[in-house]
Amino acid sequence: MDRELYWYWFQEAPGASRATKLRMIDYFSSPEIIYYALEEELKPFFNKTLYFNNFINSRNEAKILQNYNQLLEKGIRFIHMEAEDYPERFRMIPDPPLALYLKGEFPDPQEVAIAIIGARECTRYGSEMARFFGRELGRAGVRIISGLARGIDGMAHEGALEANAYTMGVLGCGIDIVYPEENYHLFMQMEKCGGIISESGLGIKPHAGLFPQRNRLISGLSDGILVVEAMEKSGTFITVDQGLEQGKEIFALPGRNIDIKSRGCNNLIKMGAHIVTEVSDILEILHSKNVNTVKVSELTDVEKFVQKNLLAPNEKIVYSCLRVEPQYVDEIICKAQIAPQEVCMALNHLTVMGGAVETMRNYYALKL
Amino acid sequence: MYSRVLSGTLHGVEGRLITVEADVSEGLPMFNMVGFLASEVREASDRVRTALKNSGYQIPPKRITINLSPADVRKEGSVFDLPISIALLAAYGYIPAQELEDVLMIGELSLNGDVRGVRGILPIVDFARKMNIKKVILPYDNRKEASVVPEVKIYSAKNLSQVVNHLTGSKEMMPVDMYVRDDFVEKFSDDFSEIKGQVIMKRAAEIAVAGMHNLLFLGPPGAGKSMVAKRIPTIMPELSYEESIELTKIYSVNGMLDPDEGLVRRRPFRSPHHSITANALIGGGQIPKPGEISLAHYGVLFLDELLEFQKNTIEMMRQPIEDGCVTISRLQGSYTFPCDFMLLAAMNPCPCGYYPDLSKCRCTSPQRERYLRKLSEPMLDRMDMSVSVQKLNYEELYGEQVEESSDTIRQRIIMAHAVQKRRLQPFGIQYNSQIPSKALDAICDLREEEINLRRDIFQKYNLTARGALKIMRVARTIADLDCSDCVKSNHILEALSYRMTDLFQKGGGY
Repeated sequence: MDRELYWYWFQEAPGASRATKLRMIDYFSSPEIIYYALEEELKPFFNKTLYFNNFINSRNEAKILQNYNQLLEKGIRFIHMEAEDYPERFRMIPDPPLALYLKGEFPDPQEVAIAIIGARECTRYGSEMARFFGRELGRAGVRIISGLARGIDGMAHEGALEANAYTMGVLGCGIDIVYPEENYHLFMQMEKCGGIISESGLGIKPHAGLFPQRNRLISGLSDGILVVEAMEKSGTFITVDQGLEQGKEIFALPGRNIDIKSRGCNNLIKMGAHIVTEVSDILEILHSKNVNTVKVSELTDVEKFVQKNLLAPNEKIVYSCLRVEPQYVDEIICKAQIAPQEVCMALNHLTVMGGAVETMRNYYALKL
Repeated sequence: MYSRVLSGTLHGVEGRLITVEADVSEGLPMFNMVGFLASEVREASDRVRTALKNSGYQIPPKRITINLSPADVRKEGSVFDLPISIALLAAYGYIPAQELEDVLMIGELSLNGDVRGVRGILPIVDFARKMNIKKVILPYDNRKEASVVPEVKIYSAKNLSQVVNHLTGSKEMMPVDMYVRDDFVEKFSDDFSEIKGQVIMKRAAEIAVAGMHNLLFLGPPGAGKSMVAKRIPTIMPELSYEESIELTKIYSVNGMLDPDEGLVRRRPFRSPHHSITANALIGGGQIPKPGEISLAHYGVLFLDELLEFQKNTIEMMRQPIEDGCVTISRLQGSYTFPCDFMLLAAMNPCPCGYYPDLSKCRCTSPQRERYLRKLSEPMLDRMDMSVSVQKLNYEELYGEQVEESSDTIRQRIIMAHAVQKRRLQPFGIQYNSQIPSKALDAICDLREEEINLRRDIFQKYNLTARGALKIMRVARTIADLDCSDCVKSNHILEALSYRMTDLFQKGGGY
């Protein structure tokens, strides 16, 4: 068998945790030796016979070969610790992965990388900001790392893809599983112009235990972590804690004080995280070469849109009533003090022109 | 001796003529009834004999044969008690046979000879009019309902002796006067002016009624969806006399008429619970009876919690909504019930109802998706317009603002209906919601600006042909309310606010 295959077997072998496997590597020095090791030699690493038996029985060459070929057929690369293209950054973290499964490419280690993370249940403010930072940081050459999850993660990837920038997704499930399904389009795009990695092989279903492990890889790959939106108790903070342990910079996007969806971010700032209001805030701290990008404040530049498009007087008033958060049409009618029919017309015309979005029936928000 | 009395029975919501024949001859005493009878009709023999005895008529024991013809129609109900007893008395010679020609009789008897009210009177009396029968004798309780039929003399009887005395001429009854209250002013206990705020929902309701578009409400519990739905009949035009008669027939057949009111004068509002079965909604039973959709004829059918209804129940409504009537087939024949109603439905945007307000909504997005997955194509296809609803805040709820009354809104709707009637007559339809796609361009009369806008919208919202058709129909109605002959850009733009496509999008929370 090939050296790759011994590693592949060792990575997939059941019955031993990653910590045990690391200890075995320390003792035996390579998976090949472990594969041919005597049972007596291996026994001390296991405290239960069942686990031991599982481990021993997995030494089946035909099966290993079959599974490995399956991997190759799907265009998935297997990268172990001692491989050349194993990311250097992972060697620096306290609990490095033994091996990884990869679709696409790893980010260029010379370039700055940032993890953009946050809640799955996010507001429109959160998702728009994640998309914005994904896009603008991507445009500035920063590699965008995230977890391909619902909400903030997905939006950050989406933003990066909009800018045709490199973005890497780190999965908490098997490399061939698309979870959540709604991000299917991201999976397809990122395989081609980005990368997807996972520590789990074919067919591993997502479960709660896998996600904290995934989070250490997200922070491990990045130079900094940007938290876009998180509640007080959020899984996001596992990533932040691991990032701190690994010595990464922590950035947080401030939210309104009363907003429970931003409370976690505000707390981070209170505890000393870098406050982010502009893309350049991040670029300066991470010493990126490119600093000139769009400013957040330019996003909601009402004047510009009004100048660019010839708006009717009513439409101008209605446009000025719009905010980033969706508002129910009655609220807008109330603010604008115009007949409801007129407001509806204006809102829909603005939507068609690209100045507003309808997030749900009769809820409108400013298009960023 | 032989005698013959006319009576009637129901077939769906239409009447049917039944002849009751009686023959009394010598032989072993017996009471025999024939003619495809249901058991309640068969039981009539006991009621009739006892009622006759208690009313003071002697029936000597003889061989009695009663036949209800035509023999191939199944006879149901208790309406034949009175005609059977009169036929019997005539056969015994109490009543001259010539008096029974041209008289139709309906009524149930109690054992002491009282005549009791029955259901389904109006369709039978109306049928009698069509058959040129000049006189109808029926229970006192049913006189108001029957009296609305013109050209027929209605005699109402409280007991059997009255009928016999009338027929023998010893004491004639007076025909019932037409009981239609001229002073009838349609009064609703509810009014639109009671609804504070909810600007967009009211506007949507007005447009929906003006073009008879089916409307879907989306919103949290307690926002006032049912409140608006309940008031929709108050802004619909009054029922015409013909419509009233048709509606009364349905209610008469179901035994749901108000005994104090001859006619149903108010547009119905039906709000069945979501556990309703397909049969109860569409109409059914061994002998089919009208269902909720027919009871909502010329009015409003409100399906609250649309997602909780069974999918196949909703699916069943497809044909009736398109045809305006429902045909139910049974072994004995097929029955057609009219059901020309406006469909209103309401649903929550998520299981807890508060989405997109994330400070209140506690649902996760998979939960929301699972919930919305119940919203099937057949359901969405039934609806023409959608509108979101939100809870009012304190200022709106207790503000001083005076809201429009139902009457004001109704005036605009009557006008819009008149315009539509005139415009759509050549196409054989009545309301904008029925405009077929091939006639759309001719009816909407778009100019270049509007056609460009339509193209932009089609691409922007990624519309289907059906989605675009619905938007244009609604735009036509908005133009009608605006007294505009052609559909203009602003009408189309407003119609977009009520479109049925992409009700929910990703990342819309706040």
